Amino acid sequence: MDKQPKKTYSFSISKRRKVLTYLVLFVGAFISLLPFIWMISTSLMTLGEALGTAFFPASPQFQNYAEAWRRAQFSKFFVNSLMITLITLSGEVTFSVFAAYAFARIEFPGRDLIFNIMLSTIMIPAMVLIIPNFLTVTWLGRIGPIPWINNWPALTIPFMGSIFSIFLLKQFFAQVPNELYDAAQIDGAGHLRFLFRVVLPLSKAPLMVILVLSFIGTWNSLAWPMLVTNTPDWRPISVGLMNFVDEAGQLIHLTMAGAFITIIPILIIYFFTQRQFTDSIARSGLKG
Amino acid sequence: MKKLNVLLSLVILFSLMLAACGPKQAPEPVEEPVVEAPVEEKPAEPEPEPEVEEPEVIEEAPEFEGVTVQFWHVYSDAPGAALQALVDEFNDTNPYGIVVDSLDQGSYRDVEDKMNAGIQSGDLPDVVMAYTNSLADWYSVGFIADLNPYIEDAKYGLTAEEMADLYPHLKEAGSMPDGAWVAYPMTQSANVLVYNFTWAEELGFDQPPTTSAELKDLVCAAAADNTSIGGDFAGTGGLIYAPNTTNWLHFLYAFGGKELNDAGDAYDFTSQAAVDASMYILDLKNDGCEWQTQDYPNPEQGQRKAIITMSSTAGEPYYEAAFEEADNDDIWGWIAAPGPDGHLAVNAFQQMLGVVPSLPDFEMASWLFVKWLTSPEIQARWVKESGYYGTQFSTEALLADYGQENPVWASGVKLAAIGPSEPQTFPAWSSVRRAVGDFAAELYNATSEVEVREILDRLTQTANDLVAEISE
Repeated sequence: MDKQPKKTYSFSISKRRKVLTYLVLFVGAFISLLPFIWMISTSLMTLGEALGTAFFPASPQFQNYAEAWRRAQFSKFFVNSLMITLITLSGEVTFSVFAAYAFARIEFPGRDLIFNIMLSTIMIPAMVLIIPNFLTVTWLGRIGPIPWINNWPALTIPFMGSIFSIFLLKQFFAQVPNELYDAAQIDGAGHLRFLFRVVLPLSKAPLMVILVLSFIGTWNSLAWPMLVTNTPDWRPISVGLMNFVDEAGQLIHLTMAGAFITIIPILIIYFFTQRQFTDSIARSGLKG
Repeated sequence: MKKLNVLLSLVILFSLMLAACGPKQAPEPVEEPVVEAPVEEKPAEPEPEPEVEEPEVIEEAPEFEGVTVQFWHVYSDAPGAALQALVDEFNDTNPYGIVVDSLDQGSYRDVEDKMNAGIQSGDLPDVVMAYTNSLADWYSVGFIADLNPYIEDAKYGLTAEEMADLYPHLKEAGSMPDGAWVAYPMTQSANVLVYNFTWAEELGFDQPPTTSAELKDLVCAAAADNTSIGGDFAGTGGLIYAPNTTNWLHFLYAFGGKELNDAGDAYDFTSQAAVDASMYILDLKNDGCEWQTQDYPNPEQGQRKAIITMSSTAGEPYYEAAFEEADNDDIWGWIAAPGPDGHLAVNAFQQMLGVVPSLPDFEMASWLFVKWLTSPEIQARWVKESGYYGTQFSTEALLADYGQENPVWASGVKLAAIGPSEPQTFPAWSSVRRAVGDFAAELYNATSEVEVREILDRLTQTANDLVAEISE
C-alpha cells in the first residue's frame, strides 16, 4: 500500500526530468538555429528592411539570390573553391594517413621527438605564419617549374600537412590492437596492406572528422587566398562575399544570400557524414 | 626520455619563434625593394640608381614603350568594371606605349596585407591604392616614392594652372611632414551631416544651419516635435551622434580645431576648440537633442526619427534604401557641420594613389598613368560610376548635368572641396586614431568641462606617447 505513492512520485520525477531535458534541448536548438533563421530571413529582404529592425521580410525577395550569385561572380568562384578544396583534402588526407601511421605504429629513431616538435607547432597562431608561408611559396614559385602565386599550389599545398589531422589519426591508429597486425603479418601483409585493409576501414569516423573540418576550413578561408592571388582566376567563393562590403556599409541582404549559397556545400557534406562525425566526436572527446 | 623529448621540442619551438620574431633588417631606402618587382614584362633588374629621384633623371625620361605598370586597387563589381574600362582606354590611347595591368586586390585591408607581404618578398605593384596612413608608413620604410619630382617635372608634371585647380587641402593631406608628396588623390568622400530638408522646412528652418547655435535650435526643435508625437518617437528626432573618431573630429574641425599644435610637430587635443566641440556635443545630449542607436547607416532618418545623422557620402545607397523602405518622400542631402562662427567643415577622406619606387621609366610611367586617371575629364567619368567626388574645381564643372540628375550627390560637391582631412601622414596616426575613438566615447560620458579638459589632456599625452613609442 505504501509503495504505490512512492512509485507515482518516482515516475513523476522522471517525467519532469525528461520534460526539462527536452525543454533545455529545445532552447539550445532554437538559440543555435536563430542566427541561421535570421540569415535566411535577411537574405529575402530588401536593403531597407535589412537595415531596419524587421525580422521577416514583408515580401520575400528571392531575386536576391540571383543578384548575389551574379554580383559576387559565384559561378567562377564556386568552381575555384571546389577545386581548391578537393586538391587540399586529397593531399591532406593522404599525407596525414601516412604520417599518422608512421608515428603510431612504426618505431624509428627520434619518432617521439619529431612528433612532439610537430605537435608543438599547433601553439603558433596562424596569423604569425602568414608572412613566412608567403615568403616560402613565393620562393618555391621562383625556383620551381610552375608558378605558385596566383595558382593552385599556393592555395593548397601549404595546407596539406595538418598537424591536427595527423594527431587525430595517430590516436586512432595507435588503438588498433597489435594482434591484428600480427595476424596480418602471418598472412603476408606488410605495413601498407595492413594500413589499407585493416586500419583505414576501422578509422572511418576520424577520417570523416578530418574531411568535414578541413572542408569547412578550406571552403571558408579568405585571408590567405587574398594574399596569394592577384586575379579572380583562383580566388575562392569567400572572396565573392566581400564584394558586398564597401567603405560606408554592407549590402546585408545580398551578403546573407551569398552566405547561404556558400554554406550549402558544407551542409550537404555534413548531412552525409553526420553519423560518422558525431560518432567520432563522441569517441575522441573533441569539442567544437 | 619522454620528458627529454618534450623539453627538446619546446627549446626548438621557442628558438624558431624567437628567430621569427627577431628584428627585421631595415630595408634599403627607396631603390632596394623594387629590384625584385614581379611584373614579368620588366627587364632583368639592374641595381637601381641611387639618384632615382634626381630631377635630371626625370627630365631624361626615356621612351615608355614596353613598360607595364601594375596597378592594385580595391574595386570590384560594377565600379571595378568601370575602372577596368578606363584602364583599357588608357592602354589603347596613351601616346607613351605604357601598358597598365589593373588588379582588384579586395579591400583596403587586403591591399595593406598584400603590400606588407610584398615588401618582404619583393612582389609589389607600381601603383597602389591605399589609405593615406598606409602610404605614409610605406614611404617611411622606403617603399613609396615622393611624387614631387614627377609633379614638378617640366615635361610630364602638372602646370601651375593644374596645381591651382586641385582642392587646396589635398596637397597637405597627401604630404609627409618632410614635404614628400606620397599620396595623390584619385577621388574624395567625406563624413557629412545627413540632413532632412523637408522636415526642417516644416519646422521653420528654410535653410540649413549656418552656425552651431542654429544647428542646436534645429535638432532640438525636431526632438521636441517627436516628443510631442510620443510612443516610439519619444526621445528621438534630433541628431544621431555615434561617439567615434570620425564624428568627433568632424565637430572639432567645425569648431576650428585640429589635431596638431600650432607648430605642427606634436599632437595637441587641448585647444579651446576641442573643449568647445566636446561641450557642444554634451549640451546636445543633456538637452535631449541628441540620441544614439546601434544601427549604421541610420535607417531612423528615413523614419523621421532623426533630422540629422552623420555618415560617409559613400553611404548614399543605404540612406536611399532607408527612405524608400519608410515610404518617405522627404528631400534629403548632405551638409557640413557649422561652427560657432559659421565656419563649415566636413571630415574628408581621399581614395589615394601611391607610386612604388622602381626604375625611373617605371616610376615616370606610373605617374603618367596616375596623372591621366585623375585628369578632370577622366575623373568626371569615374565619379559618375563610383559616386565619389572629384579633387579639382574643373571636375565640378564637368559634372553639372550629373549633379542635376543626382541631387543628393550634388549637395556634397561643395563640401568635398572644403575638407579638411585627418593628419594621416603624421607619425602614428593610425594608432592615435584608435585612441581618439576611445577618448571620444569618454568625452560623450563626461559630466563637466573640468572632466572634458582632463580627458583631452590624457588624449594628448597618449597620442604623443604613441609617437614616442614608434620613434624608439
